Amino acid sequence: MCASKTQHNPSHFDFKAMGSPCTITVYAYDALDAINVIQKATAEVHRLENKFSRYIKNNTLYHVNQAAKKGGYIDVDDEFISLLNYADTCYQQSNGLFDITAGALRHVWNFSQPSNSASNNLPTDTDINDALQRIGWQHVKIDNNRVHFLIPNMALDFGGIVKEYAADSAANICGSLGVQHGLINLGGDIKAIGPHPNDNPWQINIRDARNPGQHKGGIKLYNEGLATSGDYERFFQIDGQRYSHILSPKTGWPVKGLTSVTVKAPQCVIAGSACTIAMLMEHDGIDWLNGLGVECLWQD
Amino acid sequence: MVATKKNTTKKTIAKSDALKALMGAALALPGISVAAEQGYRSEDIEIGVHHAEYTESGDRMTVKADQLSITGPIGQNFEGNFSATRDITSGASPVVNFLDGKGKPHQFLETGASIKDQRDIYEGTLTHYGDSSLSSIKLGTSEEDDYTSDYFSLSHRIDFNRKLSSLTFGYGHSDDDVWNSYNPSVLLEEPSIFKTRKKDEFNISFGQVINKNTTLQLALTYVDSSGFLSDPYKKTFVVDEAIFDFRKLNVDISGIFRFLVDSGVIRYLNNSGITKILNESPLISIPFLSENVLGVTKDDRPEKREQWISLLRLSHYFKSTNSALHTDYRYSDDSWGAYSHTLEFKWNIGLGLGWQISPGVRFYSQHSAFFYDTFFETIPDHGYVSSDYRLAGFGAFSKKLEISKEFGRDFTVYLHYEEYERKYDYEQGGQTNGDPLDDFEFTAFSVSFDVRF
Amino acid sequence: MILPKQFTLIAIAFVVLACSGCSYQKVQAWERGNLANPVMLRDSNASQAILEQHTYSAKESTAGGYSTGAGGCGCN
Repeated sequence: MCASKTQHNPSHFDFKAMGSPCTITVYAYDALDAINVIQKATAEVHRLENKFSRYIKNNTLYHVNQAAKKGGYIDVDDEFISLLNYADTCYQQSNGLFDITAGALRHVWNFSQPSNSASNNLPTDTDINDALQRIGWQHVKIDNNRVHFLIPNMALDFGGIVKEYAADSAANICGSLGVQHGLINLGGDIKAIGPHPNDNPWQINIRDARNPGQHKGGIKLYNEGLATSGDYERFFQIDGQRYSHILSPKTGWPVKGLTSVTVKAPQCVIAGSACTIAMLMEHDGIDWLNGLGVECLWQD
Repeated sequence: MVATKKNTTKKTIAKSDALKALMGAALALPGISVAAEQGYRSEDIEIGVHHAEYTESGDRMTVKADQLSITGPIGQNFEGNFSATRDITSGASPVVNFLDGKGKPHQFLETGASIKDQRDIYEGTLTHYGDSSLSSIKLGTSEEDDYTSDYFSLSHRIDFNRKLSSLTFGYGHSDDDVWNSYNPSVLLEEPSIFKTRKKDEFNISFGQVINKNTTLQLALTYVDSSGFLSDPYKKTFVVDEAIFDFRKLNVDISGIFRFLVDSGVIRYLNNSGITKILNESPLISIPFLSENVLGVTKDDRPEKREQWISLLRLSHYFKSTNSALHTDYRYSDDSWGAYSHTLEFKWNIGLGLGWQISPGVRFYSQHSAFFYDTFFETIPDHGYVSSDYRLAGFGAFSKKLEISKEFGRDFTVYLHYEEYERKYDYEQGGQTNGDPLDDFEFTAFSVSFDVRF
Repeated sequence: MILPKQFTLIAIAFVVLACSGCSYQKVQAWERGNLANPVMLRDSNASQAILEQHTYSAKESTAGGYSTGAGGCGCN
């Protein structure tokens, strides 16, 4: 019989999903169990990626966005509805700043260029205003399992939710398979399973956004989620002003104010949306996080 | 920490309404709620195979049971379950207690109603998962070669108080037919009987989350049975009714009967039709002769029985050991006087990686029914008699162990072992009618496999 | 029908508890992790639990009393 005390061997698995390097670490009794657990957890991450990625054609999100483009309606499953409900809660709590229909702006701002050079081809006000016309969660109505798009040319984007949700879900699967200690890291969105095997919390070091390779601090995790918004790889500098790749659905412009925010919350999905909302709130973000009652690390 | 930024802060305050709103929405996500919500309909089809073996001490009964069960989602909110069970009973069970020359009762065992008694049970359940409710309807039938039972039950649970409380209402009804099957080895073959009985059961149960580690359940059940509630195979010995007082004759009547059965005389009487011919004339019929000559009287119980059962269940989670202790106390009052107390502890310990081990103990104590005795000097004024050991005063102690292992999400194996010891003097709160001759033990072992896909 | 004394007492306790349900320490949705732990489900194998009760009912005078539905666990 295996007791938890003997779960001392960590098994790591590195893979790529949702556009990021991912690592699953579980402490398992034997290698076979670990493989089984990792396989199931990885499958869950891939399942969510396949369902909600906007880079995959003919997936669930693609069909929903086809309906969004037409301004029509579509029936979706319970999981989709519960994610929309979650997004709605974020929208309400952020006074409309966190808006999953803001995807239209991504076509206007092109982030694939090297940083510091974006000022060369800034979008025109016309482009931005045109995109803003197609944004607005208030134009989406949910009726049981049916989603109605009240205006055409809309698009949904689950950035800040799905990758984080995947970390929670994968961690839950590990937990339900008996893992008591482990860490799911999907490109910096982290969910811990229990404490470290030595019964202390997991110590997560947060990278310094301005000084790559250095740490700016640590956060202790115990069965909790952690997410970071804003990073040194993707930002704009326009007229000497740093802009994040996060776009405000209100102004149509990238947000300024905070360089990066790291939030710890009971679930990774909450950490993810909270740090995104903080970024969107710009200089008010940290006050908002403090009001929310979560632990955070930030740089402006 | 390599570089400490002055503008790095940490702050923790009480959970805000905004965080509660986000938590609420996050916990509704299926990937998060999977672990957080039991009682959520599974989208998988589950097939379960179950095998159980039951063995009584001495030369008594053994039972082998097999079950196949399939559960699957139907439409958006329904779940269906169907199960088929077959059990086969063989061996012997006590029929009557004879007195020896010293006036001491001796149990007379007889091979079961038939040598092999087979029972087939088919059950179907349809469950509806509502937002804050769970309703189910179950239909079932059970058939033996001397018994059939058709039954149904309804239950409806409502969750309220933000799902911290629940109320469940249940109703069950069964219609049973009882007759006696022919068995050439049975001592006192009787003219055939065909009787019916029915049972109505009303149940109300209240569940409450006490705190984040404790839940409580209270259930009240009222059971109303009526019809032929006697056992067609059981007899009781009434001294007055016999022609001779066996205590004075100093003969071992139980030994004589044993000899008659073992030597094949009974079989010959039954098979040759002699028993049948005797039974056609009231004055020399086997039931008449056995009662008036030998004092062996038919088991005869009231045609109505009411039981009031209350259950208190407390479950507590222990973080330090990742375990939960479940304590059940059940009290049953009974219009037959056979009231009982049951106290049971089950300790579920999660060992990680899908292993769970659950040791448990159970204690049961029963008062004898008002018409029960090991034997009777004379038929009581109320006219009811039974020497069925199940209506005696006794106590029973069980030790149990359950081990389960989940292999991934789709395969689970369960093992269950139990040792049960019934003793006359285990009865609590004063000894009532009964006798150590009915003491016995059993062991039960079962194994199940569940596959989900 | 005259209810037995103990039954009446438990029935009263029942009503009191049901009425005071709301006065309990409020357990928030995110504090239900422990209650949702598989060990808090008393019988993980329903067939086994039913078979066990059936065995007792064949050997003892009291049968049932355990709620027919899957009611009352904190897990819902």
